[in-house]
Amino acid sequence: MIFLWQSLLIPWLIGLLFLALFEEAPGYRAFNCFLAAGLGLGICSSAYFLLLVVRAPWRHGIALIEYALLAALAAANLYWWRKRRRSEDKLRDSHNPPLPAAPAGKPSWMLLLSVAAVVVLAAAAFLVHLSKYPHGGWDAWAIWNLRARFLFRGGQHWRDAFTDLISWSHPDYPLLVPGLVARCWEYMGRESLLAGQGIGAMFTLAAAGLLLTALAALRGWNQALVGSLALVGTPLFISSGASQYADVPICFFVLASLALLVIEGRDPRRHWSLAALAGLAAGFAAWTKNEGLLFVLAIVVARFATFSRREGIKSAGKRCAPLLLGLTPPLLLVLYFKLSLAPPTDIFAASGLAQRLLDPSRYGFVAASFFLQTVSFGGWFITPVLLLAIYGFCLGVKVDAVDRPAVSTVGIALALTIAGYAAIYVVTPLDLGFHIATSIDRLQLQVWPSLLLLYFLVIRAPERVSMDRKKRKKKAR
Amino acid sequence: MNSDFTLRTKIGIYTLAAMALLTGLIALKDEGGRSSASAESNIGFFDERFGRLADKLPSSGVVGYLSDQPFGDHQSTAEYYLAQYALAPVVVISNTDRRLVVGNFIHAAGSAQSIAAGRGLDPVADLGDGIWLLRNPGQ
Repeated sequence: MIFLWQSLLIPWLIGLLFLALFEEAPGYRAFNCFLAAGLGLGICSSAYFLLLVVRAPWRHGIALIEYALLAALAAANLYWWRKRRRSEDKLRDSHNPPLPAAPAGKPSWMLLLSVAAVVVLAAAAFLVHLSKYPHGGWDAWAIWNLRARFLFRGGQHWRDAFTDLISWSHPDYPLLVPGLVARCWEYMGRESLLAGQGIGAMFTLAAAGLLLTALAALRGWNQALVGSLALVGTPLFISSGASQYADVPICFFVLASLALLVIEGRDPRRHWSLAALAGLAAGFAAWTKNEGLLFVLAIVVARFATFSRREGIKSAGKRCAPLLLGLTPPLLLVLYFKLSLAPPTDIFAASGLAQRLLDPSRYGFVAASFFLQTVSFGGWFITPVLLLAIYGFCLGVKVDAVDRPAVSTVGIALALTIAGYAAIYVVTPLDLGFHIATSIDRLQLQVWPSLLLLYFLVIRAPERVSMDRKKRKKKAR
Repeated sequence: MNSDFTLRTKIGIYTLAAMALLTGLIALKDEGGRSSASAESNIGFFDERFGRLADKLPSSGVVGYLSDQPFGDHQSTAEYYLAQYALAPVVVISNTDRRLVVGNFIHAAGSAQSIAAGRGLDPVADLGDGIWLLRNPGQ
């Protein structure tokens, strides 16, 4: 058991020390704590895969390698800390405008109690689900944990995991989740169901915490608590986490990437590091599932489109540079995997592609499915669309000027990602009804926390509503 | 309750909060009442059954699979996938064109040998509960 805890704690520490290398934006410490969990898991999964590729027997030394990485990061932090301290006085004297802050205000105790109750219910549902399905849901055991068994048990034959003799197990899917599970087993020295369960729990918690802390820093605690209610109160999010599906890790990376771009918009001084971290998170989304590659394309296009309209093409190129830099390491990993190990993706089968593209009934069916699924999304008692609409109607819309470019980037990136999902359904060679029925809810889940981030950035925060009312009263007097 | 909030703000917040609580309660009740009769919720059972073959198979390579159920329905597909899940890193393919074949006769354990003979396969080992290791003499 202690080795399991160690295998989950080490990535978090690696993530924390890695993030500490970048100067932290004031007010984002809690956000960084949750960000560190996911980024650390991404780094450790990549390291494990590299060890497999370089020399298979070496992978048993994964713990040693990670401890060495931890020590190297600690040393690098010490070096930077000393360097920063020396230049602290210079920095203090230089012109450092304060960052735009979220509206100040204490969280409502009633709202806190509501969130606590929803979290308790969600945690109980998570545990009940785990106890009933300890191996995870269908995709978890038939894809992710199966692949982890190939990696862990396969020895020199680990590449057999990618044979297209078992194409039903989607051997073209990237390895973030299976790599993490197999890596935990290496730590433990044996297979254990607790590994997949622990990773599922960690990503679920990290995604929820990331949304809470991002909104708290950007829009105040009350808006953050309402956003958390909407996410943690979504049964599909909780059951998918407990099912050990890769949709929750990809949720995390998509949200992390977009939230970092919003924070970057408020903190131009850390523009390079925040955009590079956003790129890294987007790259890890591509290392999690094939849909992550679509998101990578969407976020780059969205950023370029936003800034080319506002600042011109040259400036937009400069804005995209750190994002692309951050993307590069995980994308190289994905590229290597796709070119040297994975069989071709079945979705883009060429036969009949033109026929499917030119069939108008497919477009209608996909559009209707998206509409119906959106209305009934997430397993809510009442459609969350209506609940969010009521909230928006009651509080009103207000986008801070400083957030407008980032909100535009996030909106375009999510719209392109969803349009990409729809396009994949249009061209799929699988039975369209079956393909949609078995995947659309989880595709929508992948962008759900990010849609909530966008929505609660656009809607006025409760504190802001109160402040605006006080201002109006003062004026009237 | 935060007295600074306007009535409209409170309506917006607490409508969402009340529905989240109600949804959470229903979801918890649904989780508790979920049936555990399908192959998917008995993975441990199938994992242990198919796992008995692990010692009898080579440490890598490809083996075939034969079941007493027609391939294609949800249950038989799940059982074949579970055989692969249990036996990885050996690759299990859903036909009998290999030297060694995994036999899954859980639903008709008594007629395992006749089903195997009908496909021209020789029994190698009976591992209990309808799980057999078969050999294809033609391969």
